[in-house]
Amino acid sequence: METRFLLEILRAVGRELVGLRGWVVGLFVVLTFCVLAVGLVWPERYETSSMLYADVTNIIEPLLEGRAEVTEIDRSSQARELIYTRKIMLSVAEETGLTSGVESPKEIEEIIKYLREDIKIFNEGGNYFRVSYKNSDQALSFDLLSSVVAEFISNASEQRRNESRGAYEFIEAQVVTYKNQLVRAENQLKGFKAKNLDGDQRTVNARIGSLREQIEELGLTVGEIESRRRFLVQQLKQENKFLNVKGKVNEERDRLYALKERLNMLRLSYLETYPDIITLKQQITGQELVIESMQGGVFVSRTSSTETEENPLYNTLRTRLSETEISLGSQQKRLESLERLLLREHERAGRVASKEAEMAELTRDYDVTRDIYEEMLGRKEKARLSMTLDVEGQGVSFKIQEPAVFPVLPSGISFLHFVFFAPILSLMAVVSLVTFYVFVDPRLRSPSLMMSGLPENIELLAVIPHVSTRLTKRIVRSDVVLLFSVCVVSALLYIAVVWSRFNGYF
Amino acid sequence: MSDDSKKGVRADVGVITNMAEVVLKTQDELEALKIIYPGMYQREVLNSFRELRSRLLDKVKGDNFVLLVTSLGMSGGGSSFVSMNMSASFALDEERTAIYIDCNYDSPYTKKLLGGDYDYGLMDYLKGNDVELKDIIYSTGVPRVRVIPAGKIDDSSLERLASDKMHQLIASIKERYPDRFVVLGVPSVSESSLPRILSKVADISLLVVPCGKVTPNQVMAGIDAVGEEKFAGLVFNN
Repeated sequence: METRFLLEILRAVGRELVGLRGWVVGLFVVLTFCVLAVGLVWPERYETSSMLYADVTNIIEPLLEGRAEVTEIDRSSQARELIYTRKIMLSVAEETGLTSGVESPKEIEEIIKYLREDIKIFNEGGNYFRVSYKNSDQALSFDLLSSVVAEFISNASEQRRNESRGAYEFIEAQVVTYKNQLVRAENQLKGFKAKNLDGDQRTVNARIGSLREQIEELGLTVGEIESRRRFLVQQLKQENKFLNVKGKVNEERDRLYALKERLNMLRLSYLETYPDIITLKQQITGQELVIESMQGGVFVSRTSSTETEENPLYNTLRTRLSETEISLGSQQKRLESLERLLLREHERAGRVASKEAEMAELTRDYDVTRDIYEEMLGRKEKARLSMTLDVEGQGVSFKIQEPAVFPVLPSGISFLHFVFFAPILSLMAVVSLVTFYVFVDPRLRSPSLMMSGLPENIELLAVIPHVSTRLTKRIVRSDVVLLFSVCVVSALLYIAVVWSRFNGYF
Repeated sequence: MSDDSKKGVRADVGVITNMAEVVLKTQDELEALKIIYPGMYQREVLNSFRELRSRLLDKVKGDNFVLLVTSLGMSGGGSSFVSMNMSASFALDEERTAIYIDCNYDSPYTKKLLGGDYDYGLMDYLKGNDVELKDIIYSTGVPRVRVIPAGKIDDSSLERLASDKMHQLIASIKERYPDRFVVLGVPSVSESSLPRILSKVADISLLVVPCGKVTPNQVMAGIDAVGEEKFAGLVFNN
């Protein structure tokens, strides 16, 4: 269905081409000559180009790997940035005579603008790139490109040197700044350390710990001494100053107890009348009298007794007690002073904590500044190397790989293209127009299309093909002969125009 | 007047009385008139008319019939061409004959077919009694095909063609020989009301659609104008 439809359309286009042959031939001839006319006035442009090579290899590079920066970049874009600068454009324009110094700034701007449009820079892969220029004047095209390339190369090395020197100087200035900063930080740290002799947290803590330990030990000692004193006092109370009397009575008493006990023993075996018992009873009575006499009056006995003497234990206890009291007093004093010291250490600990924060800040400042300074020093050395490379002509340099040649033949669309393509384009245009007409025209040219738009019950009985007259008869028709002669005359005219153009008549 | 036309006229004199064949047209003449003939070099044209003929014969019962051929669009729609070739295709069968009645009073086709001027035509016959039927039937130079040319035209031609006499003429032609097919070549439906009028006397009608000259709407209007009861179908004429 689809191919049949296309075939019908093709046939219809063919028939319309034949049917409208007068118009078709006329339009074809007119269009062909129009295109040829455009070709006649089309400016011929001569293009010349030069290939440049960015030489980045040097003998020092392997030695300095990772030290000096030889960065990988698109050389063509780098070249583009430099070539399109106003400075180069202007000097090229002056050199090639495009400007003579009398133009207004506006005119100069125009010239620079056109130069920028016409100078093209392409990346050719790797470190190669091509600079090309197109102009209708062969000599100008060549001169201008040569001038551009020369300016570029001289500018590139100068710029490179300036750039690396600038980089070095910048880094050097930075290094000085950081050095000053570092010295300042150092001084601050020194000053702070000189002012603050409290020591650090650790020593304070150790000191507090030892003090606490001493206090604890001392506390124990004091407690021990106190209890000793208490016992001594108690013991002293029990001891008489003079112990001898009390001793004699006790002696007598003991004898009495012994007598009484003997008596009791005897009583178990004997009667009261037993002589031993009677004797014992007498002895007990006598003993009781002795004891009574001894206890009867101290004064009596003191005065009467000559055996009273000082108690040695008492004395010893007194001595011990006084010693203990002295010791207690001194230990308590020591404890007090230790506690005072501890309090002072606590105060110092608080002071040290607050100073510690300040100290950390100062130290941090110092560390950061020092790190940056050290890194800067490294960079400075790299920059110095890069600068040295550039000054000595190492590093990146641009070389002319392929110099500009004088353009002999025009480039782009030339008159010859117009000559060849004018008839083809015109024919295509005419055929397209007729095809467009066939598509746009609502009149029926395709039976299948007609039937698809009609109700089902309507039948297409036959499609009669076009009954064509034989070719031999068709070509002798007057209008065909006329059209043929028009074509021949046009072709001759066409050839004549082309011939005169190539022979320089216009 | 050329030699050919003289020959044609001379032949006619003999033909009308005994229906014998006259001097036939050569292949070049037939080709110039775009009439089909067996062995023509554009076989597809011949075949398409043959197919059309067989489809019409399938559609209509009976020995012969009256076929009305009209077209769409302005003059030159191809109704004369299709009418004449339909006549020729009927007559390809040696047992059949055909007569082409040209009602295209503006068309120069029959004049070209007869090779120049002729004495009387259909209008002359319809106008008065002094012209007999045999005077207006001419040989075409195609085997077994006769033609009745339109004749001299005036303002009342349309009414005459619509008259009873025309109806009687067609009826008598049809009934006289049962093997004779009658083909009425009628002007375009866009130009004339004749197709509607004559479709009453026809048994079947064809609508010729010329390539690249009419829009789908015109086709629908044409079918309406012919009248659906006699309408057989469309013929697309490239």
